[in-house]
Amino acid sequence: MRWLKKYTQSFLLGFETALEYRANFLLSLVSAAYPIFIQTFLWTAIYNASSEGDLYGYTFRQMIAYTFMAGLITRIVRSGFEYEIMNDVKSGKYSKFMVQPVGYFAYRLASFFGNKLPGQLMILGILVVLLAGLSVFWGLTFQLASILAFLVTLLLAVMLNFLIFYCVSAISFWIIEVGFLFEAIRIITVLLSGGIFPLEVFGERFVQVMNILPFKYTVNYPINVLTGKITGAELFQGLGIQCLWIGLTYILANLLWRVGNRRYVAVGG
Amino acid sequence: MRNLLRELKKHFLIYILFVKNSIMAQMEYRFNFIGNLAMESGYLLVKLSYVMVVYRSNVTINGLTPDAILLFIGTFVALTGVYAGMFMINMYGLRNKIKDGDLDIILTKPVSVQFMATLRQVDLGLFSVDVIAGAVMVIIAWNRLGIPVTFLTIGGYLGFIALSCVVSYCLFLLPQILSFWLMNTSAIAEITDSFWDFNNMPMDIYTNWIKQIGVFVLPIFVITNFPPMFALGKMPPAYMAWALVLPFILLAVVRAAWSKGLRSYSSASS
Amino acid sequence: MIIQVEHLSKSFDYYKKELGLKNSIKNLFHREKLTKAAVREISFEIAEGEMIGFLGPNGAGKTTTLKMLSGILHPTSGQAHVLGYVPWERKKAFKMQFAIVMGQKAQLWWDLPANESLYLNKCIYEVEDKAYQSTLAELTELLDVKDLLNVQVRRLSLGERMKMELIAALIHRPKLIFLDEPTIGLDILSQKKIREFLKYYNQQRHATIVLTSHYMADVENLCKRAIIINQGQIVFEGDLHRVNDLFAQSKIIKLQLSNTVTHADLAAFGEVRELTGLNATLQVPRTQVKEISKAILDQLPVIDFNIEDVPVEEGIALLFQRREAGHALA
Repeated sequence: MRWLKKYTQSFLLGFETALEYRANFLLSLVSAAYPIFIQTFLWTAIYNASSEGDLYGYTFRQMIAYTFMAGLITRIVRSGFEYEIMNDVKSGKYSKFMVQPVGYFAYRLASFFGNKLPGQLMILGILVVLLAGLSVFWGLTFQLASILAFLVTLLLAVMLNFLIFYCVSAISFWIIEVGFLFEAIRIITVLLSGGIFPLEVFGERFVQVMNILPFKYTVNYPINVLTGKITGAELFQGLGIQCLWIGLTYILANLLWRVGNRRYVAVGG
Repeated sequence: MRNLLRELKKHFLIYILFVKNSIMAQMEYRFNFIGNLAMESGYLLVKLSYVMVVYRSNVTINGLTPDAILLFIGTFVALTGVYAGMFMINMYGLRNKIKDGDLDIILTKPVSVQFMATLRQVDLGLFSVDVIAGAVMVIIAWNRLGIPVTFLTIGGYLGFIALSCVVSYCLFLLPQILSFWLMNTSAIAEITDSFWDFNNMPMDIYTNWIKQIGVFVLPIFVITNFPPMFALGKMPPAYMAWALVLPFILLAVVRAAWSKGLRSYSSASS
Repeated sequence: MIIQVEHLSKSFDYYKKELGLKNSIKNLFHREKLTKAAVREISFEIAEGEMIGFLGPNGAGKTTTLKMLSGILHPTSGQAHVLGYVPWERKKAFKMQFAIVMGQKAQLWWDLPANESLYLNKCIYEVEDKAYQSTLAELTELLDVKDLLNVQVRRLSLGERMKMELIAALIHRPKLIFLDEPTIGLDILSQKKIREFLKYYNQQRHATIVLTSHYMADVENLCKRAIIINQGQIVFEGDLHRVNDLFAQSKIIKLQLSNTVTHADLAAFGEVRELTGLNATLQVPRTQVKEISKAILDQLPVIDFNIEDVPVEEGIALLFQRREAGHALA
């Protein structure tokens, strides 16, 4: 089991770092609450002013529920390791991994989960409280099957987002200072994944395009599974697309990193 | 008085050099510059998604038509350029400077330390994307709303914008001054940074008591709501008076906090 | 006196950090606060035009002292007057008259040619155009970096960069210059050049120069007077070459021999410090130097013979050991 130890070690290290920054983590949760706050008031104002009870296929309560969940789930799937990869490549620390038996991908995956797990569990806890609140006070119901399906899709969503950003991090091999670019890509993926507003808000055409692209399957899709908006065949179709994209991004990541490695060696990292 | 004017002139001259140097230094890293533009455009896109929601929903919120809301959002976007391009980058740097002891040299310079530590960097990319986009949005909204173009409306609007710049400088510098006492303030920065986004929508979407807190207690709403409110002729006299007093109060508070913080600067001794 | 320091002390608070997951969790709830005294009750004076060196191991308090004298740090207690000002009040008139160069902290803009930063300093220090031009010409000439003014600082070598830092610091012709490890990390040639420059500048301008270094050579070559600090306290003050007078017990005898001798042969005369082939070094009690020298010349196959003081470094090392052992100095 020695080989496993390396990964558990990276996992623990990530876990420890996360605890170290506990105060920062808690505060960053608070900052995640702001957009939710603003959007909630925006929707309240819009629904109050509107003559219709149903906008973009969401009732007022569904819209608020979506807003809260989107805020939380965006946090759960959020990566952040791309900056570490950038630094590893920049500082030449990455060379170490090219000769060591620890695969860089596995190392990143392990330390990513280690780093994220305390936070993710805490957010999941908040989500449970939220669901309880929504069903007790607003009478929104959540089916057990939906919740179980949601947990599966959420795990896949985390994986998919990890892979998307693992692909994105490969830019580090070509451009040295990519920090800002990462942030640009992140914020756009948040928007496209439905992490700010439900995608339906932007029109039918937009939704159709988003159905094909992977982003929706990191936030919008898991939420709709949880709320029961998506069930049955549609659910399985979504799961299929999710898995398909995980496969495709995995292949793409491999390809990009292989080319990137060649460049890294050529440049003499 | 003579002396004060001389010092002001000196600091102004140095500020121009800071701007020039910052731009020159930025041009050294083109990819970084482009990345910066991309990032700011990404954020802009998110702000525009709010505009989109407002127009697609096509509702009047507390007497504000979508066009009026666009005026607010445009003002917000333009001021974001000022905040991000002229203040924020320095404030992030300030935290590291305090942590790494990089204020040392600045402390020995015969210019205002606060000036040098908090205004040295200017980011042209961040500044221009938002200021241009914001200005375009404001002009469009201004036209569609049919607000008269007079010396009073334009001058008043720009005057309030200037006051907003002072308020935002002070308000967002204050939490950073905590870095003199606390080692790890990145979360505080993240929180106050997201505070800025409260202005993404006009304060009229909030309940009355939130509005009053945001104007008088944590005067964040003052920054982007007052200029368009003035242009729309919706500025109550109480707000008008507050807008004129507040910048001076904040400057005094920042000054006091800064001096106190500097005293406990520990220079990250090697 | 340009600098007067009385009972100056500075201590820092910090938190104890332990490693491991368990301690990370423990630190969530409680962190132990500790205080470290960096400088303890030091007093000294420096005269105008003097060039004085602070010596001491890392963490001895040299830099902290310098930072207090330049107004960067507030002391915990004690007093200091520099150029007639209390430095940490940071009066503008005070700042206009001195400069500080720190080997590990740059003031030049990294991505710009040095002349941009120099010009900025000209404006900051309100230097007239004419004076600026002539000072710049003189300094670049002396340090031989005239052609490098238009090169981005990040493309300069370490030595060239330090020269530019010096120019940036001296552009307003300060009366008093603090130098913190000005030669750290530099190659021998650059070190020498910078030393020559400082010597020249001190003599020509009568500028007072206070420098810290852990290179003995810097202080030995430049400063008539040195202050040695260890663990925040002054352990020696005066001519560096007299450090050994404090420990006047020993002298070093260096020998070159024509034939090999055994260790035992040498040990008869004193403590053998080194024996490699035909070269030997002995340490002998100072009071017996005469007799022992005579005996050596009589009994050993000596070609060359030298009597030396114990090297300054060793004297200082001895000084530190003594202090740590808690002995009072003579």
